[in-house]
Amino acid sequence: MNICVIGNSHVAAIKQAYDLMAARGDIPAMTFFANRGDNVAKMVVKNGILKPAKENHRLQAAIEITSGGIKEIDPQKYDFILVLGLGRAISELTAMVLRPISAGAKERAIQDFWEASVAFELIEKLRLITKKTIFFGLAPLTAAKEDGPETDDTYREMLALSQTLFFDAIDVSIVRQPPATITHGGNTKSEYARDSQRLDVQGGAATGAHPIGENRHMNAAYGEAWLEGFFAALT
Amino acid sequence: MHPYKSLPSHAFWKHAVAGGTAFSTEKMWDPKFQISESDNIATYGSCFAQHFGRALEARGLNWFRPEVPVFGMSKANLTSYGYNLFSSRTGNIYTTSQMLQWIEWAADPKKYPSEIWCKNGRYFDSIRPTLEPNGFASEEEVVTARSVTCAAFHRSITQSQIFVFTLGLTESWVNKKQGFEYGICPSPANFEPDSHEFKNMSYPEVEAALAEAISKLRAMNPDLKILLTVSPVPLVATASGKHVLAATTHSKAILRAVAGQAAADYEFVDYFPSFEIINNPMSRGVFFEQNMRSVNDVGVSCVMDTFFTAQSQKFGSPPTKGAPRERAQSSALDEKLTDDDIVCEEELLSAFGDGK
Repeated sequence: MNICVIGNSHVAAIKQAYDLMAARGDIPAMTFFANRGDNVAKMVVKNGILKPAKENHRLQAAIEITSGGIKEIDPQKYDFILVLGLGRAISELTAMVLRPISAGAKERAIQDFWEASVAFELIEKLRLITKKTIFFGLAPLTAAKEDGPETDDTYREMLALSQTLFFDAIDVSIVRQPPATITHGGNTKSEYARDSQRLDVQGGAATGAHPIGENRHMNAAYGEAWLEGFFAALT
Repeated sequence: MHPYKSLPSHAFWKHAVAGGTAFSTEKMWDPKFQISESDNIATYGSCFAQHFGRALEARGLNWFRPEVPVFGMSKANLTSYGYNLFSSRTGNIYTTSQMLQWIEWAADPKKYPSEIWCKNGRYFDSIRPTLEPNGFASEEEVVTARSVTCAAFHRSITQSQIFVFTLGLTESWVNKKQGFEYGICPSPANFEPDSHEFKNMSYPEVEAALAEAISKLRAMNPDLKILLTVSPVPLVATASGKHVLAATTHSKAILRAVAGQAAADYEFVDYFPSFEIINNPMSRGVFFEQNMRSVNDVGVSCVMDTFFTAQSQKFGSPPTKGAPRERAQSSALDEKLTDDDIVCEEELLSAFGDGK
């Protein structure tokens, strides 16, 4: 099994975990195509291929480095596609679900949020060139200041609404953040935010840890928990 | 010396109006109080008031909206769901008696009328039936939305420093059996001749309702400053039996006089002349859209530029984070407001005019 992973800075935790898990045992092959920020969604479709635009040298370099030398994405070479992390403010969207507003307003907000998302911008392009299964792994919830009980009720409601109101129509399956990593209904446990690493788009070793207090990017332990959940869902 | 001898030039029509242009608005407003960046500013009123809040925000001032817009929703949908129009989702408040009602409901939400309309399995708040594009899914949702807005309206009084109210109409529809006033005339499906009655407020009625509203606002927030304006937008239709132009003039004259009198009576109440700026004879109608009713972007900019310039001239440093003109231009480019962005519930009346 070969999985194409396209994403942003949140790919770093998954890649770190993937390397650790691959060294330990037999897991599906993953090829990563990533860049920091939203740039990866700016790839263009040409002849059934997704690739950086000619003038986008920064994205070209990032794609080549993160994939280990591959310059473009041909969906035919992979069994599945995993879009990872693109789309900010998942915590804010989750919190919105708790507001005392009408079901209609809530549904409208979910649809509008995803329609304007960078993830959808990329998925739309992918759907032009492939009917293969696309998974969408959401960016992690913001880490809590202090851990509390392990609950994910609000997050689950947000996911269910997002899946049924938006992603079902474009045949995309959301991959959820593992329940064990969630606290306070809609936060990532703080332990998973410690020592998170930046996405390496310059080649060589990882380009270092995020600053202390960073609460949006997660570490390799989070990546492992996420991948275990993802692989379990695949089988 | 003759008393007119020492008057400034803006006291003379020849110099201040006939000798100027549509944009000659200098000295038209001498603000009583400063509006600063730290002030929470609440805005309510008729459809023209919607321009006010947005202009305040575009200038870096704090347009206070305790009924927070729904995260994730697009700008267009926020508008259609009643967010970002006023400080809370009251819908348009056209009359001084409607304002008084809202203040009373904010103080005691149990007084909010219980009437709910139902159509095709969807539920509508009779006070603000256009609040959600497709109505609510249940009566419970309507009740929840009411209590949320009442609480937010209350906070917009108690936590604001400035309360802006744009007076729009004297005509309204009341439920005479239950004793409350509707936001707009009930739709044909809900109209009950036995219960629903047209009312055109007289000068004393408008004045009394405003005085009571001001008194209650100050009771809830003794430091609150109130800025009154009168919408320059004419009536869509009149049920008074008069010609719509004559009815508009009658209505606006009362509102303008009451607002001016309130500003004269209370040191914490000011009047800003939106109405005069748009209807200045020198503008020759240039501030109106082709329908000669809606105020166009140029008119709105002129009103708001006058507002901010007068504030700057009176209180020294500009109360804005950027140069007003620059910001106004960029905001006009980036967020050009069209008629579609302004929700004028009164325009629904046109739909019942059989093409008139």
